[in-house]
Parts: sequence; C-alpha cells; structure tokens
Amino acid sequence: MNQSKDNLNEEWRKVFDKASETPPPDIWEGIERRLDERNRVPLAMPWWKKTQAWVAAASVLLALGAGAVLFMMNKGGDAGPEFREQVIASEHIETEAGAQDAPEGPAVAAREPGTPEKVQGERAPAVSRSEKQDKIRKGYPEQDAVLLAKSEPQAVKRDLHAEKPAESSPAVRGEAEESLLALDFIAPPEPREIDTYWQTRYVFFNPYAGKLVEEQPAKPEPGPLWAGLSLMPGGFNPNMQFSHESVYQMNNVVSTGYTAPGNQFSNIVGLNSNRATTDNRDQPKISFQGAAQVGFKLSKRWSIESGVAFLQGNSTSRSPGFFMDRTTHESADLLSNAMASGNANYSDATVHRLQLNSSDAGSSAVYIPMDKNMRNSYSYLQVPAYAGYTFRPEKQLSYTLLGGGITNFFLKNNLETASGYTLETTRENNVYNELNFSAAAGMRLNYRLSGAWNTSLTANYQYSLMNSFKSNRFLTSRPQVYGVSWGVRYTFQK
Amino acid sequence: MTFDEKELINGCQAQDRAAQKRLYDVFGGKMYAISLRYTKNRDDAQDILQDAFIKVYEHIHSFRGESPLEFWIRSIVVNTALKHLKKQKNMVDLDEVYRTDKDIENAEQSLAGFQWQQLMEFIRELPAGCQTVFNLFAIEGYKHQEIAEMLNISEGTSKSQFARARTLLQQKLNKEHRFDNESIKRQS
Repeated sequence: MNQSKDNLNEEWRKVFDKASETPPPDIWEGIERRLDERNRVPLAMPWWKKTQAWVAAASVLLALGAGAVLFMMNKGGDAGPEFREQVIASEHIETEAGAQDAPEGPAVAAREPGTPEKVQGERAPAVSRSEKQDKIRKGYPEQDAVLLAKSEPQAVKRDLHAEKPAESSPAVRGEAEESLLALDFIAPPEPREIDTYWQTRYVFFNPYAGKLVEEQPAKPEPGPLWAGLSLMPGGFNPNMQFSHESVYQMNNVVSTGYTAPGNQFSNIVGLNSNRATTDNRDQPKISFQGAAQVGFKLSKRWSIESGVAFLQGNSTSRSPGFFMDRTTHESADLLSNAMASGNANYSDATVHRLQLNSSDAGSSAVYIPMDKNMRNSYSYLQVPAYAGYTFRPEKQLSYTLLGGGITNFFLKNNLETASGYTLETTRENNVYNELNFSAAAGMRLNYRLSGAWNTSLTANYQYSLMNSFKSNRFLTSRPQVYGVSWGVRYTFQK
Repeated sequence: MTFDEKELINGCQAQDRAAQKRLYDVFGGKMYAISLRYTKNRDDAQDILQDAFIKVYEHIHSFRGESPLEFWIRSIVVNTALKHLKKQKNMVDLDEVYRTDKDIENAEQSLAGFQWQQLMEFIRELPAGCQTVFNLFAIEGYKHQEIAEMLNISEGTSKSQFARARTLLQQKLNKEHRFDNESIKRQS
C-alpha cells in the first residue's frame, strides 16, 4: 500500500519535473525595474549633516592632539645632544661646588680648578652617544638622572667624594649614574603574556536555504493604499437651454399677455419664438478643478478611488434678448428673468433689479432680440468615485482607464445680466438642485517617479445625469466638464 | 555545476543584467509553473515569480553551489509562494481535519495519459490548504513533519490535508477516466 502511494507520488513528481510555462513578458520588465530601483544610489547627504562625520573629525583631532603631546614628550626625553649637554653641565657644576666645599679632599686636589671646559672636554667622551642610547634602551632615560640629582644633590656629592678618586671624574660620574639608575622603580615593567581565551564556534548546516533567505528583512514595497492631489484646468459648459415650453409661452406673451418669465409683461412688442431659440449657445471658459484623492489597489490591475474636489466652472451664456421699457429705458434680459421664475426665492431688491417694474409692463415694454454673452460661473463641491483598470502595471509608464460617478454639491452661481448686474444664486435661492449626479470617465497616464511617488496626467470627462435646475419651467441645464489634470500620488509602503 | 551555470552565477553575483536575464530565461518557465501550482490565479503566480527572482538576485552571492542551482531557486520560489499564501490567509482551512474515503483512497490511479497542464488544473482546483500540502509532500518531497514546521500546523493536520487532497484528486482522475471510457464505448 505504502509502496503504491510512494509510486504515485513519484509519478506526480515526474509529471511536474519538466513542467514549464513561459511567463508573460511584463514579469521580466517588472523585475528589471525593481532591480534598478534597488541599485539606485541614494542622494548623498551633506557631510556636515552626518553625525559620523563629526565623530570621525573629532577622533582625528583627538588622535592628532594626542600624537602631538606624545611627540613633544618623546622629543624631550629623547636625550638629544643639547639636553645631554645640559645634564652633564649641571652635574659638573654640582661636582665643582662639592670640591670647593671640601678643598682637602683628594678629588678636589686632583681637579684643575677654573677649567670647567677641560672637565667637560674630558667627560664628554665618557658618556658617548652609544652608551646613552643603551641606557635609553634599558629604560633608564637620562632625564631621570637629572631629576634625581636635583632632588638629592648632597648625596650625589657625598658619593662622589667618598668613593671615587679625584682623577677619575668620568668614572665617578659613571658610578653616580649607576647609583641613580639603580632606582628601577621608574623603569617600565617587563612585558608579560596576556591570557588568551578561546571561543568555540559551532556552525550548523541548514538545509532550508530558501527559508534563511526568507527570514531576512525585506525592503519595503508599495502597498495597496495611495493618496494624491491633482489640479485640472479644463472647460465647463452648463448646457443651458430654454425649453420648448418657454418658447411657446413667450409667443403667448405677445398674443395673450401671458405671464412672462419672472414678471408680468403683456403685449410685448417683438417677442416671438424665432428669437427665443432653444439652441445651446453656451461657451465654455477656462475652469479649474482641484482634488484630493485616495485610492486602493484591489488587485494587480483593478483599483478604486474616491476623494473630494472643488470645481470652479466658468462659461459664457448667451441670452436671446431682453425686454426694455420704451419710456424709462430700463431693461431686463430674458435669461436672468427665466432663472428668477418659478419657485425661485430671491430678495425683492434682487428681483427688482432683474425685472422691469410691473407698472412698466404693457404697451411700453418691448422685446429686443439681441444676443449677448454673459459670464456665467458655477462652484461645485464634488465627491467622485471611480473604478480603474491599469494596463502595464509593472512598468514605469502605465495607463489606467477610469469610469464612475460624481456627486455634485451645488455651492454658488454668478450670472452677469445684460444690465451689468451680477445675479448671485446660492443654495438658499431654491433655483438649483443641491445635489446632482454626473457620469464620469477618463484615462490616466501614470509615471512612476520612485517606489512611493507617482505623477499622472488624467483626461477627464463628466456629464451631468440630472437637470441642474430645481423647478424651472423654462430652463434646463446639464453641465459638462472636461479637462486634463496633473497630479501627484504617494503610495503607502506595506 | 556546469561551466555555463558557474558563469551565470558569477555574472549574477556581479549584478550583470545580461546574466540576470539569462538566468531568468533559463529558469523562469519552470519556476512560473511551480508558482502556478501553488496559486489559484495567474496574477498571484506572477507576483510570486517576480518576488522570488528578486530574492534570487539579491542572495545569489550566498549560493555556494552545494546543490544544483535549480533546486536552490526552486526552494526560494516555494518559500515565496508559502509566504504569499500566508499573507492572503488562503490556508485558513488547514486546521480542519478530514476523514478520508477509504474506498477511493485504495483505488490508486495511474497518471498515465494525463498532460501536466491538466493535472495542474486538478491541483489548483483543490481547497487551498490541500493544494499547498499536496504540493509540498507529493511533489516537492517534504516530510509531514517538515511541512508542519513550515506551515505552523500539526503533523496530523498535514497528513489529513494530504489524504483529503489525494482523495479529491482520485475523484477527478476517476471522473476523467470514466469520461474517456464512456467516449470509447460510444465510439465503438
């Protein structure tokens, strides 16, 4: 039974022994990129910011200082010629003084008074250079003798007078030196052997070489979470249109004195459907979107992302014409009046500035069909949610297809009217939906700057799925946004 | 170790990109097959292969040639795969102990006539724990005790997982053979 099982295992082993499948080409490219990143030399830190540099410099200075001190000491103790001559001279003076103190002594009698040069001349060869060097080698520096001679001059004198004949002053001096040199307590100690300790090291062979490799700390790698910032210059088109209903009703204004948008006009001369066109004649102007995003990598290629963005959408809207009182010459353009219609909640002062006085309505009012471009800007807070699919995820340059939706929170609209007055509309004015949804799609080019940092260019298109106006009978608006954003992204490490 | 292999190792130790590429070309296919055998999807296998080769290049200087280079790389691939599986918590069912179906277990089945790709799919269809233990025991040749240490499970768990893996594989093999036999009968 066991034999049979072993055979089967062996069979499995054999089957997979030669099994091989060519990996996709981007695997090697990914390996190569990671190898490049690991081999990249980090930027050198200025040396003055490195603690090690300061420690090294301090160590060098310390070593140089210590070396200088030692050098000076050695120079002093090197028994140089001048120093040795001073030693000899000082000893000679001591000896002479002793001779004067004891004139009857044999040593003094033998010496020629008043001829120190001669004595020096005689003593100089007695302490030859080689002898001094021998003493130094033996560990008896000459200066030690000087120190001792100064501390015990009388003893030196006594010794010299008592034990040495006057004729042999070099010998006397040699004897004195010997007695001084016998003080070996200042001699350096004899070298001794230092105890040696042995350490036995056992090395075990581990068959799981791979496992050993596994346990070594790995370098940090990019994790699934990233955060980024982006700025998009682009275009914004509110796509504002007069509805067919409004055109029809404007015709009625002429014929029946129907309540016109925003005010009570009747018998307005010149208003007809041909002028109150339904064509979209809004022009996008340069707009901006700033965004902060976070993203999460679901797999090698799939990711999701969201964030918050501020959109400043600028455009020009073209009003098809305006009403004018023939007597007072007050005017009110059709577009702002249409906006202020319905359940709009503007202040009386605002309404008055937009419209002709009701007393002006009637035969004195005239409709003047004249196109006029008016600045029309919007502010939205956006919360996008995208799903992304990345091509070439391992490469330095990759691209991602994005698709998703955006929740738009209306903040403000400024419409410059024909008369030059700017109509500001906020959420409180009950004109625009506070919440609006857009579909969005885009394509992003990602460039990997380092392991953690990316930069990207994203082409983006957004189209509103809802009418922006809340309950306006005459106007509709489905804004479009498009542009190319530049962004940076930081990927958090695992 | 062949001369070429030695040259290849020296080149990789010197971080010569051409040598690294050649090493990948020589062993990449086999190692990819091993990675596939330990995973459920190709993306994971590709991640394992990439991580493993990075480790190979980083630690090639520690390779002393005491075993064939392929074995050394293979051990790194297997360990990388295990680490990957642990990270994905794919072996949660390892602690469960299964009873084996004796009848099926006794019915030993030869692998003759099967392609390795087909057999690999059988292995990849196994539950994650069974798949790993089967790979380690039957194909890599580790002992249950070693597998227990590697996966931080008991030896008994390793044995029962392997038994279950083999039972499931037997069922798959029998099913394939049955289809073959039926198709033969139909043809005749």
